[in-house]
Amino acid sequence: MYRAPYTQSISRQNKACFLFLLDQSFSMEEPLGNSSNRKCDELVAAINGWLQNMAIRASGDEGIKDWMDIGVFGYRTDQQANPIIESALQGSLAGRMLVSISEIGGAPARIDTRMQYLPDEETGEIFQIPCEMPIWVDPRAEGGTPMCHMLYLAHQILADWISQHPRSFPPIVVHISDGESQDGNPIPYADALKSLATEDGNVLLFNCHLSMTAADPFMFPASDHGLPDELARALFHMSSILPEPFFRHGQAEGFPLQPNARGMAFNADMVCLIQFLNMGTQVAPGLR
Amino acid sequence: MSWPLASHFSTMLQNPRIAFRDPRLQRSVIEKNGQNQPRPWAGAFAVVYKGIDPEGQMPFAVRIFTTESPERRDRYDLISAYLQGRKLKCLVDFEYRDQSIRSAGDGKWYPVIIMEWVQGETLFNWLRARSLEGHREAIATLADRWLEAIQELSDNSVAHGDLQHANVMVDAAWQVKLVDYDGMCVPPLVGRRNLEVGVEPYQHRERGAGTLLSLDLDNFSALLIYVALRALAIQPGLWAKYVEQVGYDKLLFRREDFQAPAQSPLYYDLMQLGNTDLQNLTERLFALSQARMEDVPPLGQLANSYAEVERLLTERQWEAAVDLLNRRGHFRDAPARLQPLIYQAYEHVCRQQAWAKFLRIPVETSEQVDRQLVEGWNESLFANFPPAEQQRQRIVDARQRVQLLDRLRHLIQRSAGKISLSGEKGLAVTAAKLPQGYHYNLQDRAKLALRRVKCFARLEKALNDGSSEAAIVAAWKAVVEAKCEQFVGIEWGMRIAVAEERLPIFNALAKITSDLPPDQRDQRILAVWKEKLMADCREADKWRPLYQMAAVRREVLKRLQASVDAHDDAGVVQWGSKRCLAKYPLSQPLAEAIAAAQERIGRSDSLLTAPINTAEESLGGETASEQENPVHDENSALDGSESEPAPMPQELSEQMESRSSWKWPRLFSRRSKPEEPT
Repeated sequence: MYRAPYTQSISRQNKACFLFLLDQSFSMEEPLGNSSNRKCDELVAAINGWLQNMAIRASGDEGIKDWMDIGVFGYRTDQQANPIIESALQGSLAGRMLVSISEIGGAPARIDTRMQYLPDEETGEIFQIPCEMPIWVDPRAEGGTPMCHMLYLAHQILADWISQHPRSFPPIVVHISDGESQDGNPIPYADALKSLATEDGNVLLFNCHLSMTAADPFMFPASDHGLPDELARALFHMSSILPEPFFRHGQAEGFPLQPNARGMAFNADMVCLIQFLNMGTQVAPGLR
Repeated sequence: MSWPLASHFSTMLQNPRIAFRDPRLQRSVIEKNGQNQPRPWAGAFAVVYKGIDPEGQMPFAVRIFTTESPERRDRYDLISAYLQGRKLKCLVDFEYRDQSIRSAGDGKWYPVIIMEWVQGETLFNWLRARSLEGHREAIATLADRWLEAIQELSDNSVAHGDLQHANVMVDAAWQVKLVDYDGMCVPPLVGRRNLEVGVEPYQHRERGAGTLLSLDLDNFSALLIYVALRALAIQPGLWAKYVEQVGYDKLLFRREDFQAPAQSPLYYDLMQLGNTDLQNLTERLFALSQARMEDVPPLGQLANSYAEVERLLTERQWEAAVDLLNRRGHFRDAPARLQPLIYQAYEHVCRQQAWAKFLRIPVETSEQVDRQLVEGWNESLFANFPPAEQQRQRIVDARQRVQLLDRLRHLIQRSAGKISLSGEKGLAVTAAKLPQGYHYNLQDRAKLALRRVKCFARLEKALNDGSSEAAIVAAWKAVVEAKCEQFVGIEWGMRIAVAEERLPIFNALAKITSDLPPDQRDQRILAVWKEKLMADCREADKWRPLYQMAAVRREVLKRLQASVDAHDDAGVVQWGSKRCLAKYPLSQPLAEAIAAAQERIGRSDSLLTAPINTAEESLGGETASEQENPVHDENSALDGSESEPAPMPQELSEQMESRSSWKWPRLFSRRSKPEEPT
């Protein structure tokens, strides 16, 4: 019986898999466009928020449902330019490659008390609220950008995962960086990663480029014409074409998508980043 | 900007004071988990949190949406409006509130649904526990409850739209409550797009983004869950095999079972359980999964197959058969050979119910009971039913009484608050036909009518008779008390006013007794008597001679005194010797004056006679009265025995002619201020 790709319902039998590949190179020290915060701070805030959100969305009567495996990886180099590719999860989960959402939800590294600043919708006044945030990932910014090594490890991890979950909705890889690969051309590694597939479709690789300048972001371009530079063009070719359900979702979210739009964001700010991160979870069917 | 994330609301809920707009919600407490975070229960489009209401400490659910939906507000409004006042047992109260919770993402306000917190477990957890402990009875009960809940939805034209193990709650009393109404369909929503497609494998394979909302949306999912419940009630071990051991998270069935039933071990197991009813249902479920979605019939029809109905009918288990048929909702599609039996079954059951109800009516004679009897009697069911036939006379009597009561009511309604003598007579006559001691609602009104009729008759009699002013006044008083003065015309009114004027006079006259000395008697009678008023009063006749005598005596005394004053001895002797003064106690000076005058006249031997004649002419008829002096004859005046009235003095007669100067102040003041009609 034929079923369109990317429609497999996510459940305990057919788990989903999300992989986050985080650039932890030195340039992540720079502030993110439209913000006074460092890119690495904004990035981990977004990732921690995503993990928290997923834990909430997976919560049911008996705690958190085990229907999703998640990997959060960071890549950088040491002082000798040796690549360091490792799980970015901290606390009791440190060192684990893929962790189920139920474990993640139950084991944040710590709970931080933060002040959240919010504008009041009616008065415009900024008020602050103390809130407790679960933390899984801490910011890091050192060394270079060994992107190819990272993509290679991702390939190994997912090949293994797919062999155990052949019928699942395909894994989604979200890669966030702010610069060029420093260990070679990443496109072949990206292609290899994208060639992995479950019965429900190929692995999806979405790339997000964080910018220091507050330039206009490019979201989901359909061709490399008009992209500002070589880095942007490289990310474009690394990124998956949005499959039908993602394309429709993007349109519903108000993005003016052209056919063959790719899962890519360039010059992204915090808002773009969060939208980008959430795309996968909002499209995957049956996340409930 | 995109819709906030669940985590944005979760962050806010750490501070209800800032999170909510509503002051009462601001003071609520949100339940937290082990990490001191608000404890979430996630659904497809919303996350639910448990709050404790500051007033009353009752738990409630806060349902926060995780996606945007432009029609949500509109749909929830329509659903709320539709469910208003229906109060379905299987649904909980909820309230959609716009702009009620702040997001920590953008600080803006978003909608929430506040609803009753359902105490209990999800169907999945409940069924897991009961299956693992092998509690067949509980599961069988729940299967029946499920059928009832689905029937309730169907009876009320409501489709839930997303029936699945986590949207069904089971409470401690094994009652079913449905939650999450995002996908609900009520009649005003039929034909709209369905904004969610439910969960595999509960939904029919044709259910998709293009499916339109309909009231049959639940047919497949309701059936699937019912089959799972029935199967587990027979063999709870299926849970371990198909859910527990394989780490499955739905109720037994999977998509693969329906894709290839021949290879489905579950299908095989269900067919081997040795229960025909379950076999039929399983076959129907699998067949219908491949049929068109709109061809899936309501659970009520499938769950109660005609095979079972027929068995019950042939065994004459009428009640059970009717119960089953009722659960189906209708039996238009019943096989023709069953129709007469079905009719017979319904007739039997209806008769039993009606008769049981009839027998509960108390045995007493009152309007309440009579109406119950008339209401409770069902001719088509009770005719030729021996126990009912024995009661027929009772019904006939009750019906007659009820007809009378209805006539009474009709008469009262027709008068529209205006009473009339004929109307009151009508009421009284009708009411008189009811048995003695009969209790009915209009009893007081009917009594009043009778009282009015009687007091009017009494007044009429008193007036026609005319012999007792007191009787007239008393009858009139009764009329006033019965608030029916309007029955009395102007002429009667004038007569009554006269009687009221006369009555105090008679009362005063009654106090004048024969043992009083004549002078005091005269004084009192002259003080109270009103000549004009008493002129043509028959009742006054017995007093009239007494009065006339007093009046004559007053005149004689006046003239006597005048003669004394004029030293007219002849006059003194003439007036002093009047018979009317015979036993009258004259004052000492007068008595002495008369004696002195008689002495002087005797001495002078005078021949003067003329003045006596003159005086007698002017007091014409006095002589007659002297002969019949009622003062002399104690009996005639004070006992009321007939006696010829004394002729009246000229002046008194003249006074009585001037009637035009009479006034009836009481009469006219009453006319100008009529009493409220009853």
